[in-house]
Amino acid sequence: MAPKRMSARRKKSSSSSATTVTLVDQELPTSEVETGAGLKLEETETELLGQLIVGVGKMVLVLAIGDLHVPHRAPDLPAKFKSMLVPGKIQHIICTGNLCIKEVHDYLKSLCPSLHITRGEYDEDSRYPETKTLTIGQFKLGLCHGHQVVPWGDLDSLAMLQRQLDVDILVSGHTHQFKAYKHEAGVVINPGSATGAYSSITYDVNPSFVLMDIDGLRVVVYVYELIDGEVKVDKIDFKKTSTATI
Amino acid sequence: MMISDAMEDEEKWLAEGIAGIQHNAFYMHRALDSNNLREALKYSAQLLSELRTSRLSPHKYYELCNLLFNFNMRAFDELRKLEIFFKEEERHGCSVVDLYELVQHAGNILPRLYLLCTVGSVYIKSKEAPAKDVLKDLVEMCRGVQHPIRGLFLRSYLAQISRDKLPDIGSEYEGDDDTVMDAVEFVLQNFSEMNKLWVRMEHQGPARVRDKMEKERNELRDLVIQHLDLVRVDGLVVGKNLHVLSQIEGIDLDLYKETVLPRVLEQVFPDEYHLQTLETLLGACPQLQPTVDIKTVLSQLMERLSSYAASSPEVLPEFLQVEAFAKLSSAIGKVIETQGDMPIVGAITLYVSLLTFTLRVHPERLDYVDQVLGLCVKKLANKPKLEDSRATKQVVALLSAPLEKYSDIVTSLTLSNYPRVMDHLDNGTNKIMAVVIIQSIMTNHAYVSSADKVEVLFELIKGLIKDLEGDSEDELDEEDFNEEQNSVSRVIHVLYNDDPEEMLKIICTVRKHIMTGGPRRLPFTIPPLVFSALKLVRRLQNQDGDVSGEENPATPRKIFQLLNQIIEALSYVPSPELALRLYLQCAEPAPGVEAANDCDLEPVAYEFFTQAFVLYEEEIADSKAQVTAIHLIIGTLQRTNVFGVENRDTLTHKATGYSAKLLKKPDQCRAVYACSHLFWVDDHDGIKDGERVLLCLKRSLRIANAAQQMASVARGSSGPVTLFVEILNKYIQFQKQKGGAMGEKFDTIKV
Repeated sequence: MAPKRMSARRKKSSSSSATTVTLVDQELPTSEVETGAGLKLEETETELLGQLIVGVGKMVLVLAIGDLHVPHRAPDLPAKFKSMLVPGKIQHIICTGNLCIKEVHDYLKSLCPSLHITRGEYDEDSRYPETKTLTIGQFKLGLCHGHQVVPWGDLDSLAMLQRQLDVDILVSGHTHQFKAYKHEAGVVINPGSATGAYSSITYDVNPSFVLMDIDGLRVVVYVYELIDGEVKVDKIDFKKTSTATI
Repeated sequence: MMISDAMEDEEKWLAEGIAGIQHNAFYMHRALDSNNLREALKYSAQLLSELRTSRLSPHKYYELCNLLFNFNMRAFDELRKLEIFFKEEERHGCSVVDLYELVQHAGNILPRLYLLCTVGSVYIKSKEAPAKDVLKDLVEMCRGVQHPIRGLFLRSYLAQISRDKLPDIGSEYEGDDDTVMDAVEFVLQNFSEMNKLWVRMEHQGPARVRDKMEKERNELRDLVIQHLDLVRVDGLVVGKNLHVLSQIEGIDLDLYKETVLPRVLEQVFPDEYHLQTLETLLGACPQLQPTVDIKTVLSQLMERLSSYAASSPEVLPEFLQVEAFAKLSSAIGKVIETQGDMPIVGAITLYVSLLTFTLRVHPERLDYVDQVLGLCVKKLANKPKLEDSRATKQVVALLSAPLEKYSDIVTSLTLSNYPRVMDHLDNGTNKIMAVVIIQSIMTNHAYVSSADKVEVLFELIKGLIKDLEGDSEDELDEEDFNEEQNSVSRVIHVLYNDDPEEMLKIICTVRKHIMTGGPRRLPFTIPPLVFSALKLVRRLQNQDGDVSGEENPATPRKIFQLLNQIIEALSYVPSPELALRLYLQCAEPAPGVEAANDCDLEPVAYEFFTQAFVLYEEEIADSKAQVTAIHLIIGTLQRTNVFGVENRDTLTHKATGYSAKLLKKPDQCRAVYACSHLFWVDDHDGIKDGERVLLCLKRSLRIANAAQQMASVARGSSGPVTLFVEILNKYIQFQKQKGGAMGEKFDTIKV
């Protein structure tokens, strides 16, 4: 029952235990981690959005983003991210919360009208739900900010939430650290903080967001991280076994 | 008399005039064809006599003149035909000198002068006399006609025929004695005479209706434009010419603005001449009549000069050489001084132009920029707040210019007069300007890196920071207010210095200012300040060594004290939920910081927790808010590892107690099992209390049971078993972590 932890984090940041990429694929031979892809994509990351759109007809792009904390902890999204996130390319946005103000909500809405948000503890809009589920293609996605799940960022506890919500992919935030885990038949993703906002949980926060390319039973998770002014991209592939819940 | 009658009469008179001209022209043509000089002179004089009428408006008069001498020189007109005839000596057998004498025998002065001009033109061409003498003669003689309209058209004709005969440089009429200055003399004399006639026209006939007069003057403007073409002699004219212009007292606003100015400033002379003659030009400006729109003149001049400066860096030394800024500045000062009744908007417009000039020509001279702003402050000195919207607009333009020019906003912060100018804006505009300043900072990604500069910045944006005098609350649109405050909140993030001590000073400065903001602003401004301070704490904790040195003012302890005070302000707002979150944020130590590193941390964290609990108890009443708050407390407490056993016990006890007191059973249940994590922290040594974990789980199980019972009683169904599944999950989770040490008591309580 031990969860497989997979992380695309190549960073040597202080306390993170997710620095190495572990690949346990006995149970799930289809899953893979392409660490090399990240390096390759670094130069062409801006084209990536465009390429993906042109690529396959059926696939759906989902932007997972959260913990912006504007304007409490950061003035705005990094300019580089803003220039990448253009309207009309993304089909859905799932946002874990802590936007915190209406301006950010409006900005996200301008990128894509299909916007799903759960409530972070600093959100001024109290109408956001605590959790939310939605189905995109063959995948059921669950969304939760994560401050409700103690200990924060704990995979076991998040996995519990994932089972509880009965979703293939659980997207949560709060820790401001990008994570992508494979757990049982599902995936637990934390897109990090899109503004690299201060966090007491994560020491040195790099701005990051996640783009999920959902195509049939396959989801490719692209992680965009701003490291020292450069956008780095990593790619992680997940495949859903056909026996899983549909 | 009815106006329509008057118009009808005019038409009639014009028709009569035209008929007269045609009649005489017919005989003149016959005389010309038969080379009969005497007859030709006779009929041409009669022809020209038609112009003696004073019954026609300038417009009609113009039509009449056009038959005789064409302003556009597009066809052979009557006088041109005559001129050609005069030129061909063999046709009439009379030398041009004699001819010049001969035409002076014409009976009436007007035809006489027209003929004289015509012959004069031939005379110059023949080069039998120096051009300057002939021209001088003609321009003097024309004084004989003092009727405004007749005189203006006569001189206009003179200007036209002499146009190509001026002894200009390079012209064939330039001789040893004929210099360009003669040409200038002539043109200017003629021009000044025309202006005199112009003025006379204005003051003529008090009985006449004023706007009719205006109309006539407008009609005449075309004519003047024609004339001004002639000024295009040579660059050397400039200084003299402008000097003369300035002495023409009667130049009125319309004329100056619409005819003289564009000609003089934009077409006639190259920029470098303006620059070199700046002094003469500017010296003349204050002498102009108040009715002259001098501010447009100067504005355009400065605009022109700054474009010239921008055209090539090579010309910049010229500007320095002639001390352009000082001259312009003092000229503007004088103009504003002498024209006491100039509206405030006019003066500020001038300053805007001067500032634009300065920013383009001397971008490095911040003192100049400040000087200009200072002048503006002086001008506005006796007016506390501007009410004129146009003037406000100009002040905004004045203040925006440096922001646009200097991408580094800090530059603008050094301008001491900047905030003083801002003070004169009304509150609404002041706020808009403040937002513009903030936006400018944000778009340039500039850091404001010292407490002094932060002080200045806050002085500039004080309209956003606190209620200004005269602010009325009901006028405020909530959305606008939020937007403004969010921009303040944003700007706090760029008030930054790498040096911890300076950073602490910055934080103190920001605190001082935002605390004046009142309850509506604090929820916006406090969070960014708190996080700014927390970042500093983290930076200090990250530094090894002298973190807790006594003489070092920037210690985590000191900052935490500050934070405590800052957040406390929120509880008076009241904004307890936000305050609670911020207290918890402060209580939570940075990852990797161990208690041993800083012995101050425990009491500090305990104090923050205490504050959070107090708020929870006293201020947070909403059940949903309680659920969130208790989860945040548990989550933070779970991560806080600085407490000794005693303090920890107190806090965990509190947390568990409040968890069990939430309103809804499922919420209670979940909060209590979350508390189990308080007693078993995976990655820290020390806290591994299996007993208490189990107690929590059991307690939550009891609650789950109670919840189910309640549900079956109240709703007649046993409800879902999710709570039990969740508790079971937790149980398994702990079991896994500690390898079965928890015992098997769980089995006894089956679902």
